[in-house]
Amino acid sequence: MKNDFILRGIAASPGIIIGPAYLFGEKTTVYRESAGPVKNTDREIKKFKKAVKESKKELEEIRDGLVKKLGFRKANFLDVQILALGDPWMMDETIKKIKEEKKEARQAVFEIEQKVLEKFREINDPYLKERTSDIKDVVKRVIDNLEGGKSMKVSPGEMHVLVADNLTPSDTAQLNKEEVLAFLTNLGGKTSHTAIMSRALEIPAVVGLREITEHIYPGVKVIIDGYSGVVVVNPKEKTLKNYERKKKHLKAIEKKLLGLRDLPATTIDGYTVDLSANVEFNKDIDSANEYGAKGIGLYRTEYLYLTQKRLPDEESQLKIYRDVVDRIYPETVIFRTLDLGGDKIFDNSPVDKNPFLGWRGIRLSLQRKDIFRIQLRAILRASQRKSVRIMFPMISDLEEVRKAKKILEDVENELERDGIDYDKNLEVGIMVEVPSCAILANDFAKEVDFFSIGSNDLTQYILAVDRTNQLVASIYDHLHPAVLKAIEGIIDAAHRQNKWVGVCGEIAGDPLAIPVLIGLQVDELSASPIVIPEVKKVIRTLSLKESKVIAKKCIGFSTSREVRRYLEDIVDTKLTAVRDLILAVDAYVK
Amino acid sequence: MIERIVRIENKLGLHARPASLFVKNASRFESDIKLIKDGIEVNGKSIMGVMMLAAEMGSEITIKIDGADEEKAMKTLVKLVKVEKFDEE
Repeated sequence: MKNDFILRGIAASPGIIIGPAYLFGEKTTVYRESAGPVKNTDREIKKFKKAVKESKKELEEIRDGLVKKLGFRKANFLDVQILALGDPWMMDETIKKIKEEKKEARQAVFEIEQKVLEKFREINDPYLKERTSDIKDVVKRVIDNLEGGKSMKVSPGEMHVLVADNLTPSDTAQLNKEEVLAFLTNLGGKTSHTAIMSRALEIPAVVGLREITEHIYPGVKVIIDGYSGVVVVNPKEKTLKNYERKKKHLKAIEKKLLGLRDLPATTIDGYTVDLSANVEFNKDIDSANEYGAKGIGLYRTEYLYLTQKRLPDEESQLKIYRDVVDRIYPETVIFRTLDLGGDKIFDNSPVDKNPFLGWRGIRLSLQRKDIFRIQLRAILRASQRKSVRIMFPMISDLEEVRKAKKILEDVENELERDGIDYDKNLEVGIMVEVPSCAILANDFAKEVDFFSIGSNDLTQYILAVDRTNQLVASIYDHLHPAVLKAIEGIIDAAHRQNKWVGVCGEIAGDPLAIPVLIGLQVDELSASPIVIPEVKKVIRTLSLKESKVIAKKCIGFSTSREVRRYLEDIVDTKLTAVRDLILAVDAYVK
Repeated sequence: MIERIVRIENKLGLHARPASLFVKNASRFESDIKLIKDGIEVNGKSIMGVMMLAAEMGSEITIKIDGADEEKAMKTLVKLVKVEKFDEE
């Protein structure tokens, strides 16, 4: 198996973990690293041959059954697996491994599988590449038979990194969470169930890895970097050491930075931004307070809708929203209304083929006014202490803003009639994340109280990149001059109308981007609680004057590479006080 | 020992089903059967080996057979590749 195999996904929950991998949902047990050499190799070979024979019999039975149902031609897709079981090369290699290297049968099978999979990965033909699923399937069958055909338990019984194609709520229900060190999945984005749950449990996670399950066998050591989304399979000694160092380094920084907790995010020449927290669960509020966040710049409400089978009613929402308000008071909280795709909530909704261009966010809310009204009512009722703001996601047309505001007004009138108190001056804003909204920011600014720039989606839409697609993920860069120029335009448009602008995407937590955002005179930054001290430290070493020059320069470039090079140079030569902090992060995998 | 070079003429090349057919046919003979493509030699009775050759349409492979029934084996396999074209069309 190759050393230091690196995969990049979406960083879903921060933290660095090193531990053994375990494939969820597959009936295999944990590979024991040092079982020691086998004494009786003949017995292992016999065991192996018997398991192969049994597997072959099972498969032939399955095939014969299929032939009856589907006819001969359609059933012969199982031939590859059946032939694999009689494959002289695989048989010989496995037996050789047992005999010469004194390996357990099970381990010899694993190792041969890895060898075959690796060879298949080199094949360019996509159709043949897919046959790896046959190989894995057949190996699994052999292993199961080696284990005496017994069904293995779901959990390996020790601390492990859980690897899965995807995790559904029902999967997670049967997990032993005490044993999970980290999550890795092929599928999923920032708002996937796995991502949300891992953040709630404060377990590091990387999602959207596309093919992590292909590269893992039970027990293999993996490094998970939940900050950058990097996963290293079977790391070399040197890489391990680097990560141990990074882990320590981050802990030390964290400790040092917590000293900034009660200081404002002010530049040396007196420009202050509100540095607030992105929050998903009420318990994140403790972290937000601990890390010195000024209020909540983004409260995601999706989780309420994903965790239970029924849609959340007004009272249960109100309870949660009120709790948020009380815990962050006197600071403010911005509730973002539901930002989910329809296929995530309704069982009978067709799967969105292109979810980021599909039926989601405000588009869903405006069509399902029943759901929307309940949420608005709950948020309004939680606003009595006058510390609540509300914003709508996925706005692409001014009509949507008008319609949403009209519904909000209706709900307010309803509350009025019912004699229920709420904040009559509650600020209403929108997420600016769709290019149409960025381009027409001037018009939108006239009709809302504030903007919050969702840099993740804005970047994705401007650059037309699905960053969960490994083949194009490298094109995704929120420091692309086109994105920065859009942000500049949005901020200017809002300021001309005396409206304030926040940024709540990942760019707000990226230390390298902070000088640019400050230079563009953003009013608020909202990021994960954990990165707040770092961002604050950077802001406190900057001057607005200098940052303006930096921002102007960046926007003048034409590629993100130029922007990055320039910023790294600036950090290296001018921002020496925070150099280590900013540049330390990605220098560990070398 | 006999050798012959054949061109793969079916559309998908030696993908899973043709490879299975080839291996099934090859396995009926006693002789040692090897396939060679671009200098890589694999066991013609190994499904993994044959698939890993990733022989696409138009590519040329060498069939090398050694054993008592080599003549008959060669005839059968060449027919499968060139005449029957793996029964694909």
